[in-house]
Amino acid sequence: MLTCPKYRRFIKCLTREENILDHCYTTVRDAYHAVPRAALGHSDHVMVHLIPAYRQKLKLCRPVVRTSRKWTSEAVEDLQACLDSTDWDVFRTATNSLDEYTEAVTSYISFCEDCCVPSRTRILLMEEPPDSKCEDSCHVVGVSLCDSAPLLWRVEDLRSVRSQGLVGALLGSLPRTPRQNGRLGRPLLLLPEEERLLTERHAAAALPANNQDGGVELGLLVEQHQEDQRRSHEEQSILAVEDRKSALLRAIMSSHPGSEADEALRSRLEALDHSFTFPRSALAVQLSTARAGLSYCPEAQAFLQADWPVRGRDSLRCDARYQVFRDLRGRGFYLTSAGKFGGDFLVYPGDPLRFHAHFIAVCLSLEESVCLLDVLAVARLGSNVKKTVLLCSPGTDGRVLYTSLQWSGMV
Amino acid sequence: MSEASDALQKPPPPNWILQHPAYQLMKNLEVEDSEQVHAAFLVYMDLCEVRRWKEVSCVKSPELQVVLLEAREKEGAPVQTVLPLPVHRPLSHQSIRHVLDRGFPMLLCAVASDSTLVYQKMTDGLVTPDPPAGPFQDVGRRQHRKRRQQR
Repeated sequence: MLTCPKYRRFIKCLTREENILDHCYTTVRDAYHAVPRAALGHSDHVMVHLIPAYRQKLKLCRPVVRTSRKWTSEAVEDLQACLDSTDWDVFRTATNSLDEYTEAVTSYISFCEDCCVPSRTRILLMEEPPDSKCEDSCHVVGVSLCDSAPLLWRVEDLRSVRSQGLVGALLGSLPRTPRQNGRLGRPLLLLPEEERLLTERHAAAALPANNQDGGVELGLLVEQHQEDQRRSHEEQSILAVEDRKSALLRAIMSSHPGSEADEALRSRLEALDHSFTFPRSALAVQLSTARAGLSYCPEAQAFLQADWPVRGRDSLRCDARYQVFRDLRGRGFYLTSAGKFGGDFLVYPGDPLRFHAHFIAVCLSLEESVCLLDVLAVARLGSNVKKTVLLCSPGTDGRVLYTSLQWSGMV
Repeated sequence: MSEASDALQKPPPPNWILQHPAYQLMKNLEVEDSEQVHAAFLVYMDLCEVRRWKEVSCVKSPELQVVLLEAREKEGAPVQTVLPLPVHRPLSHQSIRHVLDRGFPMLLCAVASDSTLVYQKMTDGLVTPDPPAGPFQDVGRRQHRKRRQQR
């Protein structure tokens, strides 16, 4: 089934005497407002003026006036002096109830503030959405190191990193669908280049190791767990005894009274109370598939700043890779690792969830010599998967030089 | 008549390449790498005789010390630079940039030991690949079901 976009007509006025002969269609609803004008010269068709219906958001929004206080240090000192010289007993004697007292004191304090702290009025022409962009760029993500692999665990960290245009790779399995590789969950593994970029922007820091006071916490958790298990065991054994008794009673009801079977059942019922044991192995254990918040990093922990362990890979190739990564990211491309294609990065014109990659980036320094066969191989691969192979090298003046390899078409 | 049949039957001398005027021209450019000159000659013959490109000429590249060819694909087409290289020769991005800096579209030609030629187009900058060619047909529900059953 082919999907056709829905076209909308715009010309509803008569264009030639009694008929509408001229049409205009677009897929955008309410794009234009059609107004007939006088015909040009001797033409028998009227002229139609298509007025765009869009009005700039700037003109649509009413300007908003906002006042805010400027809390400078002088203002604070003034206010302090003012409040220090107040005789607070006056309020207590003058008012009768607690409500009145609170009312009086708070309005007095507001009055002092108004006197001492200057305020500033601004006119906002366009209501901006609450500073989500700013928050994301100021957010410092906490990176956990697993050996040398940088991992992100918290959802807000993942969101912040994605909003900065860094993709990473999800590694974890999802608790409800563990046996598949198509959709993975947290943690997010960062590329070394992504980690370095975040560090440079001071947007990432290492989380302190869990073991500092982990001994005590861990012990508490273990005790808690054992207590939970014990309680669960008690409850379950009570329920098990009840269950058994009701089963025996049902059996007794259905059997003939006075028969041997009946006698046996009754004796079993009486013995039940004394000799029933609920073995530990029969305990039903509840496994929680969702932990309430991955508590790897309580908010109260202070982050370490910029004290990065330089993970020793300072080779030329790594540097070249990083320069290329930073340049391409700066141009707005999204980059992921290109292990499947034999290159260094896959370059997407937008979010990888929406686009196919356009380029396979191979990073090398300008002087590095490569075998011609390798160049041919990677170029051939690129043309097979409809991606352009990019040879990228950081140049002398900080720019990066790109060469695109394409199939020549000469068989 | 016997002369004509004589001319037909006389085989070319074994070192005809060395005596070819185009080869002599390339030799005169004084590039020490004789293997590269040989590769350049093979590409020259391919462009002239097989593909019939126009105005094929050879020029020396001082930075790389190799023979480059310049040719037009057709009359009035833009001039392209061809860099012929034996296939086992290493190549650096710097050399590619030197050839690109001449300002013409560049073709890299790899010459194998059996004289197979592979041409690769090289351009400066980021060239978006061509989108996949249509027409596209939405696979119907039956196809999806069939595929799922096959799996």
